[in-house]
Amino acid sequence: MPDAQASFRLTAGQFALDLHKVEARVASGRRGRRSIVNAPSAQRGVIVAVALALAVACQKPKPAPEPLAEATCAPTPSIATPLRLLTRFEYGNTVRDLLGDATGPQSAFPREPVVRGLDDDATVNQVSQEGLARYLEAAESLSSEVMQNRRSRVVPCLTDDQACRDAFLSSFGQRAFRRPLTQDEVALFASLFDAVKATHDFDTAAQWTVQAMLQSPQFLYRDETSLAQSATGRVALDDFRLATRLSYFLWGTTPDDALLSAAARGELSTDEGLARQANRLLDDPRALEGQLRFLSLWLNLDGVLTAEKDVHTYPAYTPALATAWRASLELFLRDVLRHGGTVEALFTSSALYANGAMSPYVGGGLPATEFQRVAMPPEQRAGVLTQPGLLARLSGTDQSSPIRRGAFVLGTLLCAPPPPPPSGASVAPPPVSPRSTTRQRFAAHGSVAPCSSCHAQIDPVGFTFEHYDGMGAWRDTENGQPIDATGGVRAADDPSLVKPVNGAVELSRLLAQSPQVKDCLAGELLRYALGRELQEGDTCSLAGVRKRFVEANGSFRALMLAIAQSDAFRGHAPVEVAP
Amino acid sequence: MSRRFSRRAILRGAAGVALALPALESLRAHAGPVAAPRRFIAVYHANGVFTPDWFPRNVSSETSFDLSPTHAALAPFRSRLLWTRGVDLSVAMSGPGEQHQRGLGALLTGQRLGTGSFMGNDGSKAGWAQGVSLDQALVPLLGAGTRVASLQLGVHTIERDVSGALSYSGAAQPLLSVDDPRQVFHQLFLDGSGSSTAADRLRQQRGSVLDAVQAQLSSLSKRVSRADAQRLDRHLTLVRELEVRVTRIPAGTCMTPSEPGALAYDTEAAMPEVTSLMIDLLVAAFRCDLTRVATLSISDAKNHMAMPFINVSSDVHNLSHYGDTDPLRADLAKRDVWVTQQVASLLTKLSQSVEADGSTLLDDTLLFWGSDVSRGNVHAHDDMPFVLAGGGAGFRMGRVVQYNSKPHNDLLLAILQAFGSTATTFGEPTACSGVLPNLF
Repeated sequence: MPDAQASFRLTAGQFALDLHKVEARVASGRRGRRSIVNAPSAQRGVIVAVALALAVACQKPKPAPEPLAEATCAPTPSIATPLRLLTRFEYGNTVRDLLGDATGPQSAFPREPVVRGLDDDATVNQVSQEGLARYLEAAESLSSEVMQNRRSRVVPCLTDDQACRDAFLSSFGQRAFRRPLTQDEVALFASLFDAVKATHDFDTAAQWTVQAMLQSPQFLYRDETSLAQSATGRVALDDFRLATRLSYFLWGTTPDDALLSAAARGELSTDEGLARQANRLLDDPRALEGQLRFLSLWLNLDGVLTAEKDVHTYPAYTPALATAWRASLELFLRDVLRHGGTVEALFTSSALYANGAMSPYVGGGLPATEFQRVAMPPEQRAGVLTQPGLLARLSGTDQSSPIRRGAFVLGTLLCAPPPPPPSGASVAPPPVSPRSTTRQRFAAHGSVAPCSSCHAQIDPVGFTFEHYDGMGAWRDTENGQPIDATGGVRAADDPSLVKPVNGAVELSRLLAQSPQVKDCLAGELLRYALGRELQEGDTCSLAGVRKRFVEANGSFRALMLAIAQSDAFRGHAPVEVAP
Repeated sequence: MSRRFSRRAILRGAAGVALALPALESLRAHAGPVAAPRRFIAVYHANGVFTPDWFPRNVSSETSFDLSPTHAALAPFRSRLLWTRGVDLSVAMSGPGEQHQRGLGALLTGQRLGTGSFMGNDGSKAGWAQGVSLDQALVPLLGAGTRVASLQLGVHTIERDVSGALSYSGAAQPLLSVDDPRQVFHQLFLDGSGSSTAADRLRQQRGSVLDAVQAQLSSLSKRVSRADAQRLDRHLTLVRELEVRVTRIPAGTCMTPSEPGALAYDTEAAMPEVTSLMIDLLVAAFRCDLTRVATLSISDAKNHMAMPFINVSSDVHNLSHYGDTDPLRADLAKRDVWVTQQVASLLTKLSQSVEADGSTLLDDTLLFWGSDVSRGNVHAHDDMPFVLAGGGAGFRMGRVVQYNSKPHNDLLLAILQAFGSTATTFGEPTACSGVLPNLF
């Protein structure tokens, strides 16, 4: 990609100016955060310099953000995503839809590496010795399970002849590999089948063939790279690859027969055909599962399960409560997705799902295990940020944590993470004291150099959550003193966010309307859809997706559709092919 | 699940007790009496130590010293242990990532971290470590031909990124640990290792299936980008290794442990039980010569957890940050005592297992024990709390050896050479000044 490198090759005179721009871009997350790992070497120096500059970034006033004009679009197309190993979530959904599995063998698989919350980064998610052994066991148990039902799902005929073998290979093969088998593949699996049938029987032959297919890389990886070459510098994904990408993005599972048929007819290569299929998938209940999966990763719902609490400080804490927090948050997100599915609903919905385990927050009278939707008191809670489980996760073991809460808003919701503390700085939270409030302790803690410059940004955001203790329970006072929940965002690209607020409900109201939150969310969802860090080549696609997301008033459905229709999703720059 | 049940049934008697199981062919299968194989274990525990109570006290010479209160449980093994002082994790003092990430990544690799997107405790970012780890470098020297090349055992290693990776097969090729004792048991003792008709059939099935899988991998390699082809090459190598493991005909016998029951292995409360099971499995794997190289990670470098079983209810990572004189920090010493007891238990079991030539497993094993930082409250990387144990490397034990700020890569190189390597440097070359002296 000579063009990309040229655009980043800087003369000495330009350096200071351009560094300033790149810094703003990196700090704000606008126009696609760049990956240092994948950056061409010519760019690495710049990025390292940016990292150094960021160490003092909190002290400097930020330059005004540039408007995102079409002219800023990079001339190079998006890069291809490497082979994408199915995540456990995707594998589980796939064997459920392919084989009717209800046992969930993926729960024994190794966990994926997590890159800033997301588990589907193809660059780091690779097979391991351990993982392959688990695939083997899963393929064996899945195939024996499915063959107990006398071929119903995998073998479309009841005879034991070659015609039935061929029908099985082509129909199950196409569903497993998400495209028709090649001639070589048919020959390979037919020879395995025949060898087993000669020494055993038809069903055993089908069973072993299913095992081989389920361990084939054509099943385990999503291949979303076209090998076509092109004079225009961009190649479009063929229909079957695009169908796979579309289905796993919108549904988190393998394409259904209708989508594969549309791909076979070449429909996905046209704008209308792609829109028709994308809308069909989005109309299906499975689309909610796809959106829920992303939001769960983005907001780190599973982190709630491992939030540790000091049981002396919080005797109400039990593992059952942590499980209830996780379930309650998921029900809240489902509620948001079912009722409008917008950023505004995410930050302002009054829904709280509670059962008996959550009585510390909502009082008694609830069923022990079944969750009920209750309305939160509007002056105390609104939206996801005020859900007890999330607040408990963003706390210490024995007190709330204005730092974790502030850094979550800045980093996760605004894509403007504060830089790490300087090397050698103590990162211990101030010890709990019965004579002061958490705010007083943290304010003193963050006021010393060199910590103060960044904590002056982080802590005021976190202080707006001080009405919620380390368990996420509402409080009006702490240690006999009234709660002070004033604060707010002190610096952001979006000026509408920079104003004093009192409490998290007011802060949530600002976030619900902020274009920066939508820009951040759109970038993260695009990163999830592509399974890799965003790059310079994604700039135009990202800008287009963000524009449509804002114009659609922050509708998740519109965002999913915009990504599915973006150039970055539908094609990539030509790749180097092995000789 | 009927298949699993039947496979287990092959291995178990009706009363559910462990049967004598065939062990696998290995290098030892050469004709004639052969000296017992040598082995290596690395033990990691998170976030440094409470130094005031850690290092030996009243040291008047290399061999004249008192054990620290934390190390009381090691007293029976005093003559089999070697404490280093003044060995620094030099290579972890710079580079991408925060100090815990850098320390864990460097501990066995001697390498800096690459750039990447894994978020540290403090928000800084890093990639994987940039080279092979010592345990993996030892595999071809010690373990070639064993059924399992090496074990990566974990106890509550929640992080699946650079904060949880101790072992690397190469640059950015982490081998993440397995936290479920049942999975380790299956890896070692099931998978068609019986010798019945059913096991023969299972081996045949797996051989045929994995042959087809390999053909599919080769075929896909020709139809992907150059970068993806490299990735598939590695996948193919792993499938070949898997096929060797699951199709080999067994020979010889050794006693295997009973299969661990299901337990909530990822909870804090289960840590003592999981540790104990992992130690038993490790010793059994050595005894049956199923592997000769293992790592044991006790938690990960983020390590935000309580340890309710020793009445430490605060987050131990946060605890590790308190000042040396802070009374709360003494809870960290309780944690160190507990970890020491686990290492002592491992040493006890190794010393009780006698091999064919009359030596014990402890005689033939070198254990290297370390952490990602030395003093957690300042995230220091100097004067690391390293302990060596056992006779596997031939080092002169029963000593406290003082060095004057030597990079730990020198120690890694010394271990590598002790096991027969001719390498002259290990890890990041600029952080390796040569073989650490005064070990033999």
